[in-house]
Amino acid sequence: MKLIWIASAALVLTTTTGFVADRVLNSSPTETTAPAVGTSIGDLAPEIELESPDGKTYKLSDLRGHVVLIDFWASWCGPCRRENPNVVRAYKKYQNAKFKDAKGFEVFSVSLDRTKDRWVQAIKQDKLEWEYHVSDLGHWNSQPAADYGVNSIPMSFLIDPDGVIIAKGLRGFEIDKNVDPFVKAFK
Amino acid sequence: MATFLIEGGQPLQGEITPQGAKNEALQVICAVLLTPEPVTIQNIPDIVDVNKLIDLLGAMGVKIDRKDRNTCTFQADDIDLNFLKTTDFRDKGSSLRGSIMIMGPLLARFGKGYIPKPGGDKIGRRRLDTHFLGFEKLGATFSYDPSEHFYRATADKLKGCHMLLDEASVTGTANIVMAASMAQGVTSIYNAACEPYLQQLCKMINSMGGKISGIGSNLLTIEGVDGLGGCNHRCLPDMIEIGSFIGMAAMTRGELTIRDTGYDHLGQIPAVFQRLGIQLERRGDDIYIPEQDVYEIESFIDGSIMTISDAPWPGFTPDLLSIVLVTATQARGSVLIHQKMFESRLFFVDKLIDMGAQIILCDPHRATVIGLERATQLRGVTMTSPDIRAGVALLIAALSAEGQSTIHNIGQIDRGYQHIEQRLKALGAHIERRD
Repeated sequence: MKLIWIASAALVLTTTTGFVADRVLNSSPTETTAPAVGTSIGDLAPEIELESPDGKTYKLSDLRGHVVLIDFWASWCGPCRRENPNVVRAYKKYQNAKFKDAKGFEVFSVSLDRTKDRWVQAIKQDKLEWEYHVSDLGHWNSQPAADYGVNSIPMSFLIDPDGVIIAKGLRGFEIDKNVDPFVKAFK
Repeated sequence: MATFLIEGGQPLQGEITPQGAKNEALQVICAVLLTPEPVTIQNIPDIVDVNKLIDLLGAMGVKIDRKDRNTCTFQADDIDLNFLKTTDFRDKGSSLRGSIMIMGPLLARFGKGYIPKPGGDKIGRRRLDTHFLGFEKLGATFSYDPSEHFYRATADKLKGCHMLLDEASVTGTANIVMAASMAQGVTSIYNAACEPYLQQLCKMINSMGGKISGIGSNLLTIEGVDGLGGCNHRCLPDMIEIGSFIGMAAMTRGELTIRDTGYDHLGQIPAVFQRLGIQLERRGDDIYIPEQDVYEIESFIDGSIMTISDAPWPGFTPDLLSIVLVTATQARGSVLIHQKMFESRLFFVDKLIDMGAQIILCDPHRATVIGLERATQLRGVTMTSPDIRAGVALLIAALSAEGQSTIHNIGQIDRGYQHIEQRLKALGAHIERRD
């Protein structure tokens, strides 16, 4: 009887150890899972696919490989307009910089405007010279605002070359603090 | 004292858009004190409590530019801190519970804050300890003068720390988040409230340049920043109004579309009304409630009687329990309403019993409702509204009742619901206001 007990205890032990060893051996340390789509730091930024004022469709995911500042703003939003010179400054600073592990820096501006005229006029007035300006002219109900949970603007999301959110709500030199580490040299 | 005269029995039909959320507006309006720059808030509900808070900020020296009844730009660049010691401030502030939330921003920006003991609903003892314990942890010293009913807090410089809240209080969390937004170092708040309106406040502060993470969870991390800037913010639709409209549609046998509900932020609310047997359909961001003769309360899987109780978010909001209760009076089946978070919000059932509802008030926290299944209608009576939520519950009862009802003290309803009688009239209700 005693012998049977010892034998079964040994069996349990072997099975358990075997199971643990199996798990350790099968999990590769290099294996990484892709982040889920979301709006927290570490999440994959939701896709945005919308038209620019001249009718060209831009996709956020087309900018993979770049460090991208997704900037939610509107012509009617005073605080956004006051922040715009800072975005322009950062854009100019990084436009000709040489990046490591990234092709470059881009600004992807998403406007919550209602009318195209005012949107275009504000782009011109504030000299937002980059290419990527999109909007569905849906005001607060615009699709990207819903996807990103944006109910306050200005609001920005900085994404890395893989499209993963690395910082949010950047104002002033916060942009530089987060983008500088990607820069190899300024020309 | 204003009064509603209601001729019941008219099915509500058509479309209605909910107002902006009161509980969010009270928080985000206080947050304008965090910056000297202009902050614009849209979708502000045009209701007494919110307007009083805006007036209070105006009296403190905040520049108020009300573009329309629901949009307002605030600029707190020239605050008169001495006003906070006046009896005028004491009178204005003590009549409004939301005013407690000016303390956090004032501490963050000026290192001191005064607040008279706030008022609000008569729904049990409202504790404010969470606020003050939080401020103390951040390094503020706090005193209370019982003779003057004044709270005072001072701090040279708030310092970030870890804190565990004794209860997940919404206004307490909001106040501490605002205070910590410009404190030195990192603050983490565990057992933080996480309801949508608090999430909105945190997102707004982030838009202003704040650094808050963990939004939506019960562990918030706030990295203090040197200063905050302006922003444009839009309040979410009011989930309490949405729940109230669902109840009204079911009770009056109406057919209603509730527009722009911010459905993804409603949490348990649609599911709880569905548990009462009310059919509702999500159509994009709208909720459609078809006309229904009978709605049958579900029972638990073992056949026992359904219980609906409140809990901190993401549980079911206590503010809608009285609406669920009144709606259940005409359902098929029985339900136990268990109000866990407040001890005296159920006393209004006396009035429903007067109207013919079958309710057993078990104790101050629990009431069993035995649905009438429309076999008999409630009867119109004359009654007084004790607080906002009970007031609307009684209004719903009156809208469904046979004959005329009179509701006195409707100032309580006006505190939370914007232009309610015009909006209900547009849906076919027979309701008149008498001053």
